Amino acid sequence: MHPNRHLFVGVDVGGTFTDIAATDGEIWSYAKIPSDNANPERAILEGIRKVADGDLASVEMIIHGSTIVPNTVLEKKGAKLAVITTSGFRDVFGIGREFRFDSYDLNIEKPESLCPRNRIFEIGERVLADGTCHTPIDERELDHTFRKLEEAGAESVAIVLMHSYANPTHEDTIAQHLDGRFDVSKSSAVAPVIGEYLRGSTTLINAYVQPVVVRYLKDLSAQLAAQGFKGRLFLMISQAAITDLTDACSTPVKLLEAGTSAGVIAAVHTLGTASGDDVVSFDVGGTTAKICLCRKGEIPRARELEIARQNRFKRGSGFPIRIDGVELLEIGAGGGSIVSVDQAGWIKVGPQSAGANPGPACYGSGGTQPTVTDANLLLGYLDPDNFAGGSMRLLPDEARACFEDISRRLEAPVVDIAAAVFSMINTQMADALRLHVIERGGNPTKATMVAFGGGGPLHGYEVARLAGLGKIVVPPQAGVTSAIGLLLAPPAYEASRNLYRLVGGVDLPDLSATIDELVSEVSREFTRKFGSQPTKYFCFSDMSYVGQGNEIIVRFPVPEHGQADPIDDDAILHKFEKSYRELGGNLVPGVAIQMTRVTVRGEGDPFVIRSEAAVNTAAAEDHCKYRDVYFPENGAFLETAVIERRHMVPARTYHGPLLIEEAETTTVIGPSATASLDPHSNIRIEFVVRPK
Amino acid sequence: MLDVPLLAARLTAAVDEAAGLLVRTAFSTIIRDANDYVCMLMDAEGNALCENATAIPAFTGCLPITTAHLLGRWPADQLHPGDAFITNDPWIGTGHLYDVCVLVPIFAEGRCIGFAGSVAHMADIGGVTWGVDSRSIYEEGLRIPLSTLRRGGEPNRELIDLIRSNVRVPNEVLGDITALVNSNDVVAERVTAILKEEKLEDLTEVSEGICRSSEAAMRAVIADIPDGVYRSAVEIDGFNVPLTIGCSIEIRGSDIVVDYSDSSPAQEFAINVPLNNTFAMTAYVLKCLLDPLTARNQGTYRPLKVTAKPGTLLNAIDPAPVNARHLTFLHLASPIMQAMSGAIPENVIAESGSPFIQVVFNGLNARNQPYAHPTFDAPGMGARSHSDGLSATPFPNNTGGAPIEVVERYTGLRYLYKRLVPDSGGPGRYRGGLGSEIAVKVEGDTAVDCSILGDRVRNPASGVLGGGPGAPAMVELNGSSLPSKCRVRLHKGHILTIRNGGGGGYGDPRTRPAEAIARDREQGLVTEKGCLAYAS
Repeated sequence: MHPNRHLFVGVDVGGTFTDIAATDGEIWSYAKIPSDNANPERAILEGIRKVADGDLASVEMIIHGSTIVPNTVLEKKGAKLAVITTSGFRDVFGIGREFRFDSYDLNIEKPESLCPRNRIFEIGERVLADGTCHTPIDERELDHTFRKLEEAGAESVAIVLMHSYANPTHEDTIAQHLDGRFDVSKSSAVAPVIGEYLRGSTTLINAYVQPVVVRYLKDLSAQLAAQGFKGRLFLMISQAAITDLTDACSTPVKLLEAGTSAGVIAAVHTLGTASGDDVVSFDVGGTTAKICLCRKGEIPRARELEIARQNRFKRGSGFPIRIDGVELLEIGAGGGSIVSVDQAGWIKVGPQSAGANPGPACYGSGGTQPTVTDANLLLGYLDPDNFAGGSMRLLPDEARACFEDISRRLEAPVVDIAAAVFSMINTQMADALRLHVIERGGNPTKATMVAFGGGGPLHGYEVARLAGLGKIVVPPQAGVTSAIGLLLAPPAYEASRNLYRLVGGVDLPDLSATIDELVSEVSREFTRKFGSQPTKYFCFSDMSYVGQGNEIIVRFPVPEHGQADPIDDDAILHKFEKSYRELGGNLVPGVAIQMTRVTVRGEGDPFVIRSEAAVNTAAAEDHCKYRDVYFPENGAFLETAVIERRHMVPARTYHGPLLIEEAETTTVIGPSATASLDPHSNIRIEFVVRPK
Repeated sequence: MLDVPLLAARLTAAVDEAAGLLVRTAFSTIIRDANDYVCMLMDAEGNALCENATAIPAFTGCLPITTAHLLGRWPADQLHPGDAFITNDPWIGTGHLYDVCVLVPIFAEGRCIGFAGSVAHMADIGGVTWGVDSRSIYEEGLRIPLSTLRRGGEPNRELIDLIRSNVRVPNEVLGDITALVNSNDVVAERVTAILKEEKLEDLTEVSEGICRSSEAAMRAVIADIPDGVYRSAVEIDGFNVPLTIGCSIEIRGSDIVVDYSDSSPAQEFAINVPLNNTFAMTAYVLKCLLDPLTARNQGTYRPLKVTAKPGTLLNAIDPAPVNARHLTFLHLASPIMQAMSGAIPENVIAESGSPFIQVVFNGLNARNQPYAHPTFDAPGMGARSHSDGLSATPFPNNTGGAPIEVVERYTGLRYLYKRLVPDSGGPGRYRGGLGSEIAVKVEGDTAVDCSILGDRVRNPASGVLGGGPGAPAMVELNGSSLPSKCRVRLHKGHILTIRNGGGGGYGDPRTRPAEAIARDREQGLVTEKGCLAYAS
């Protein structure tokens, strides 16, 4: 239909659906295709054909968010892995973290190392903490080790030597020796940080997934080309940015949290990057809720993530990964979260989830355990005849039946149990959200929530009310928000150096030189990947009081080249103290402050700019339905108007209680708030009565 | 009607918020590496209501007792908003001087309605450095009786100066005390706000609700165990002579009385345990065994009574030395598990390699700065009724070794290796976890002073229900063995080897499946010789 369209397509592959968002700069279109986990390319190609009207030649760029890294680790489908490490330290990887992630449960299991002990080979070399060589590598021993790797049938090799973050030459020597014969991951390249297990765990995961990711991206590229795609394929990475295929193939562990960081980008863009407000991204799916505070719209950075948790949400029960990512909180609370009663007779919600299969009892697809969605249905939040755009009928009788056991046990009517479940999950999310906001130095009462995902707009009102937030924004297409976020993500490249430097020390030129080096490296690599220079640079430093274990990330501007006094220690000190106070700490006079790592990020402009979305064209219908909906603040069911989102008109104030339905979600406006449609077709909800 | 679980969740979130602040702003490495801190909420009577998610049991069981002491000294009508109280008295707090407890009363409508409490292990407390060889409490450092730290918002400057002039690293210690006070203030502020939002006058009703349900859950499990007296005795290394912990567990209906009077008398070295700690550790082990998953609070403790004759190892009397009391109380899991193994075989686990060997290195690093580095490299855990014990995982303590690269950078010491010890897991239907071993070489020119706090050299972790024992622990200097409790000075080139014991096995080793034995053999966790223990 448009012969010269230049389409930009975002593809977000999730466990249940593959979401597609596409735009030519003016018109946006979307698709939602059931995922095929054994063969994810199929849903991707189907979705792209759909938004491109079958003409892949019209697609200029595809930005892909993939879950292949976590899935490969969770399903144990990675490469046959071997590890080469310093003599004396082969058990570091199997020992992992020694503490128990649950103090009381004596039957916990720790994650099993991705590389069995008999495929971990030690070689006699040693670098010391200051980077000097204590024992050089013996080339003959390398030949011997090489034969052992072949005998073991290794496909991918992780090289993790002691202190290689301070001096990578031994790892480089070994890698050259193995070059071309195995896939090789060097810890000094994948995660050049201090801490042998943390760096090692990251490198092992990289090596484990690498052959799988490379194969997948190759297949996908070939299939896209076969269908006429001639444009460029980029990948979303955890650092809230996109990268090219080369980078994704050499450091695939970076792809870990692609979808999550795309969602946060979309949330920030919903409010407009220039608004300067504190944004709380609130993404509720079937299994988890993801919460992220973006202060003044700036996406916060995390330095450590975790994968393959044994006990789904217990911190410390998985493999730690040291890559830069988005600092967010994920809790085991979503629509599929299972309701149970513990020994003390207390209602528990989650973290186990009925997922998509069997799903909540009211789906009628075999689930018998009660879930949050079943409670939401009984409380009137969901319309059994108009769920998922009418494509699915919910069964209230099944929802009631699944709560009967608990009802008998607690001697309370089913509807009271459902109300208690609703309160419990909202309280859990609100407390977690509040804690996350405060710990990040924010103020809940001044932040705006952006609610999306299947459950975000439904639980957003109550969670905001409990956590004390004043405003909620629900973007259009709240079910494909992450796919939209992929298109809005900037291209970026980052480089880091470790340094152990006291602020106010004498070695100031050292820092300026380091930053200059990093800027050149970033500029060079960025240009190679994206064909232009970065439009902006950021500098981040990990800082703490000397003796404190907990570092904070302080951001400061990259100095212009050629300035006489490029980096001012007083300014850095001031920034550290300001951040430290914001995070709730009292300054400690008399204790020195140190910098341990510095990172430079070069960022370009996103390829797509979110234009003003078309305002609803459908005529306003005054006709609306009513149904009884339970609101915790009243402790009662209220007669509540129900309208369709496409019937909302701008410049009109809608009063709660009100439900706004659309295909993928239902937006709840409680009795204490009003709603309106803004020029970007976002629903804006504001509390009128501040409930106390 | 009051939604108790919901309120419990909200109050717990307040305590977790405080704990997050404490960890982020603390200095003592032992706070973050060994999780050696707690934050708690108590009601106006001092009943425990909730604790932070990673709270350590050795502390949570003690703080309600500390609060009772506070109320005995300053009744509620003498408390004011803005007050804060402090103590590190072993018999009032948590058993040794390093642990500083801070309590802050919480007010609503002008009335004291509860207490925020927190405890953390300080980087230093004066006296001899941490070790086993003190002969009385007076050698162990500064003792702070229950005192005011802040009265109506006004800090007690004399006390602060007293602390400042008695510890080696005053900025860090006072920084950590400040963090304790701040975290309690957060709890107080949040609890007051929650009560207001929920339109409650005080915590009485919610406290009753919270404690009643946990008490009922605990009692339901106890009632299922046949009444009777279950006894056991275990031998422990002691300082210079072997000692006995005698344990009798009496179950009557839904009540449990645990008595340790049949234990050795208190010793002249610092391995004695104040009764507070004996209670806390016993309560923890029983909770793990009987009802691990429900919330922990005063209700958990109500069915339980813990006694020991005054002057014995597990009820040491002031001024007995207690600096390394964990070397005794970490044994308590063993007699309790052994005593209960017949009655609840599914719940018990074999003995674990704790108390483990810990070495505190004191020296100068490459920049000539002093350091104190305590090791936490772990022993093996006992085998469970349906699975092998976890290797390099401690129980009942929950600690972990710091990254070797961090230690080397910070101290200038060099690790020659850290490895699992093959065959150290006790044989059984399920194998005990393997212990870890490290060897550390002194590379610098200045001497390094070491304090060794260890056990399980002469008495390794026993197996249970037919399982065999784990391997014993060992400390060596240049290949010659050292006692598990001593001080030693190392010089350039010296190598200290620390081998932690393995966990005991569970069940008859001859019933272990052949595949499991073969897998252990293939992975080198059990040697060919070690396989003989499984031969029928």
